[in-house]
Amino acid sequence: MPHHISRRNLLGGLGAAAGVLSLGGLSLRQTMAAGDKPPLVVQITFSGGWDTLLTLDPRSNLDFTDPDGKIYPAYDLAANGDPLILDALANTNGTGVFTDGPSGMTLGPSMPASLRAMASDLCLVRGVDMGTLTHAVGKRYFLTGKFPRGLSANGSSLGTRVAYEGLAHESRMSPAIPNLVIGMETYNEGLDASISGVSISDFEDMEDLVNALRPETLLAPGAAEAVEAYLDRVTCGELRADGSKKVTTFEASRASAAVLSSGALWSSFDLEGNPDLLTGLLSHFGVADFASLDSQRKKSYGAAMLACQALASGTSHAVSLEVVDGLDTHDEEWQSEHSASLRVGFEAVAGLLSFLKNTPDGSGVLLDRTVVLVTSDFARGPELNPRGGRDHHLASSCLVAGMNIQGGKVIGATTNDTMASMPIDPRSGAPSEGGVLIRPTDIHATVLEAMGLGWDHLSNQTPLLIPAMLKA
Amino acid sequence: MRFVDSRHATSLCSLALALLLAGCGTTTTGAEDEGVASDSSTTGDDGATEETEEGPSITPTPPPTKSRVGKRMTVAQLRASIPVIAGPDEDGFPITWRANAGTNPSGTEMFADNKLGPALGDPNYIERVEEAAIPNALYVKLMDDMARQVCTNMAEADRKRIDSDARVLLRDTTLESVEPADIEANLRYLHLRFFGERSRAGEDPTIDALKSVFFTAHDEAVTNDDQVAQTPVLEGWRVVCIAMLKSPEFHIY
Repeated sequence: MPHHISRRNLLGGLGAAAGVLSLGGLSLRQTMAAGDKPPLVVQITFSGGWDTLLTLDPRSNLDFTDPDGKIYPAYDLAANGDPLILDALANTNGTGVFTDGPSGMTLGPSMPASLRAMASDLCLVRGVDMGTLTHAVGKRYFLTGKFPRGLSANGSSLGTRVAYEGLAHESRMSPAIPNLVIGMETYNEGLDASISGVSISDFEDMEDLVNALRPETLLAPGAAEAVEAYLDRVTCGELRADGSKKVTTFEASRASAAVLSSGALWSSFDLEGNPDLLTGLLSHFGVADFASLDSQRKKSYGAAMLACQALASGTSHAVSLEVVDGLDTHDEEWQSEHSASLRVGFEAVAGLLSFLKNTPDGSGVLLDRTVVLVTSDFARGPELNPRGGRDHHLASSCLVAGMNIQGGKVIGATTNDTMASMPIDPRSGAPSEGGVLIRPTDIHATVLEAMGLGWDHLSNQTPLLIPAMLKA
Repeated sequence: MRFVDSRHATSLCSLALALLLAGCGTTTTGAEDEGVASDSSTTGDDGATEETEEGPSITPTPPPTKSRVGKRMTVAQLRASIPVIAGPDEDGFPITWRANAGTNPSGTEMFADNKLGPALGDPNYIERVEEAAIPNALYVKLMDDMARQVCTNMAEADRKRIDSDARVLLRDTTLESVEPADIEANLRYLHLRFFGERSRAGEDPTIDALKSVFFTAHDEAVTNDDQVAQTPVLEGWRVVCIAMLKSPEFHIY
């Protein structure tokens, strides 16, 4: 009996074998621990370096009043570009610091009410030692959990890793776009090519990604089959050119591309053609009319809504998105733009969390098997520089929520003299002399642990679990 | 059914790859440079089976020496290459992938910064300074769209050309011919035009495979009035063009 080896079967088989090999390093118990459906992840980035004084790590505007001091919140100056800060100051007796009743979590004046109301779902990690003041390094460190090699990313993105684990999950779910990336970088170092991130620049590109090919240029069925048969051949030239796995990736992408080309997924994303779907999504963002939004909110909310639909429709296991860019405000634009941008980004985060919390999934809700991680390149300095802006700062913060993450919890802290990172006791999360500094790699390890996944791949940083972030 | 553990599966897989690449190592003649031999007896010069006291053993095949780091075409390369490959339309304007897709596109090139260039990996040099030249599902899907539009317009442009010498897609054949010799001659010309390398003299599996594509599309169009191109022959060439523009041989170099 003749044995036909197609290009797809051969390269796919080689990729699968490589996948089996890589999985050998993981505990299968860990890999399968997530239940009858695979865990999901959303990684959200605020690009440019965020001001944590305005949001995640505030200080009282009444206690730190020296413009030349090492910590100067300057909330009244930030109100020049974001009048809502004036409301926040009025509602907090002039401090600008909101305190959540049940958890005691404090949040700054640029944090929107929609996210403040979810404090009981949030694990806020302060004093994260980024180890760099370089944008590309900080961004890529939090993307992969491994400190970059120079400026180059080291390892695979968190979304890529989770999508890869999804391949091995017992549910055998095979989403059309396992790893969707909106406006961010994505990396795949040595994992199965089929789960490499599919990048679009913003939510409006989704139509090009999942809408059907135009009917005026389609092929008749027999011709389409002949083309596929031609593409299925394996040529030695391609094998020789596959040293970088580009041909393997190309072949692995063909099946997913065929699903995308069929237009079958478009119904989940055609918000204009499905007003009920759009209205339902917008309700989580507190908006009635998408068209009435300003361009910044359209972009941020649009990306977040796309993430919601990608997860809820089973299109993706991992979504990475940038909700805000342009935060690198060294000059006067810190006063005119920074706070308003942060507010929009956190509104998008709140909308996404609201959707995940209220979308049924089996016997629970989608957030029960989703981890949401919100990060930035690093923080902005607590001092106001002579140009009226803020420079880069090592001690940053991040937000985590979802599957097995302890809500209403604050981990770590920064000092009251220079906002430096304080060592913590990882079991309690409280500052502790002789404790450890929290790094992005520790956050990655803990997040993966929360999802029941292995983290052996975080090999160059000796990652440390932070049990205080996890539900008991 | 018998299962093998992952260690043995890996060994078998590595052996299969080694055998395959060993077969690819002989590049001097003929069909062995195309297609994949599945029979382990076709072990090439790089591997050998030896008889030992313990029985036959397979000498480990050295890693392939001709594998190279392939690269995907960048957006800039695609933007520059497609009009050269596709040639001009009947009015002399370069055919490329444009907005307002279909058989008479106009407007902005889809490779542009304000269209799908960024989605295909083009850096904006503000947030991204490196080209993300990854052949992911989005790239493959969009290149399918590109191939269909460009090839449809190439076929239409050739149909309208009065000067047969100016034809691009059907340069070495006629608008009516289904003679195998004409088809082969034109396929060899297209192989050079699209892939930048000459096809093999004599029997060439790639040319044979493309012949099959041509005649399948042509024969189907004879009995199907819904074809996109105006004639069955043109439909055959349109489909051949699409197959070549969708191929990794075109996109990975």
